[in-house]
Amino acid sequence: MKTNDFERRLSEQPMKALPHEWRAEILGNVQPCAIATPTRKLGGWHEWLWPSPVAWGALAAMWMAAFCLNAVSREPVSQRAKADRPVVSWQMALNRQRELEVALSMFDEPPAPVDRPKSFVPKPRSEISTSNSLV
Amino acid sequence: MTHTELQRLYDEHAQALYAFLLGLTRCEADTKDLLQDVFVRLARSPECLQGVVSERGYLIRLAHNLFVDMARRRGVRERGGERLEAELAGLFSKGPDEDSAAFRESLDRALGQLPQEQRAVVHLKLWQGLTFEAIAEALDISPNTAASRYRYGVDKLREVLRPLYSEIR
Repeated sequence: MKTNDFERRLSEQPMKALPHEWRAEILGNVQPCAIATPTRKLGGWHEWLWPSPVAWGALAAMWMAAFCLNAVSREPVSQRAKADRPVVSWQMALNRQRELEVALSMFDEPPAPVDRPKSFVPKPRSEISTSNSLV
Repeated sequence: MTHTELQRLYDEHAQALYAFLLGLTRCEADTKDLLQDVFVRLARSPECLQGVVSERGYLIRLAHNLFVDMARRRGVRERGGERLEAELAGLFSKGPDEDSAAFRESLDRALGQLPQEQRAVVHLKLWQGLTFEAIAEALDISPNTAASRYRYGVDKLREVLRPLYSEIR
């Protein structure tokens, strides 16, 4: 039995035909439920931006330009440090000033009333002796 | 996708899909369900065929994926169904003479004894005339795997059908 003969013999066997009535059934079941009309999900500026490579390109160019301008206009670090130093010292002086004001304001406030014990005022000696003699 | 487009796809490919699915499921009702699923998918995702080189290849792949999903869903029942696969599935049309009819019945049974993977490849090669590359793409396997599955499958068929084939030649 040659391989090719056998395979040819197999492939010559006709497959069963698809039942005709299935066509109407299958397509009929599909039609009402599932034939989707292409929906336009994108709208507004998305619609303008998404399919347009020119718009994307322009946006990318704007980003690049902004990035370059930012990089060019940025000062070197050493210069920035020098420029920052007076500001820092000025801020420190301001803070010190505020602390001083707070400390001074504490002295200006009137002292809180304190319940002091009554000071002992000794009686005259004559009165002491009379009071003792009475006891 | 318009209804006309769906009708065209049905008229051009439904017969091939039917034969392929019947060979896999060996059950007319399951074949109908899967064929229905294929066209529901097509209707729901009209963009799926855009840019597809071979509509037939794409549809066979879709049908095969749906069959695999169905087999997974059924799981245990599928294992019980192994016995049924050796029975007649009515894959072939009735022949004019008795010898041909007997050969087709034997071939039908012999195909049922093949593992599903080999059956799919043998069917696509012999009755759809696809190349191993096309089969590999449709079944998501390598061309070498497709070729070896085909060879194993045909060898088994030859083993089973040898007496009958020698007799009717």
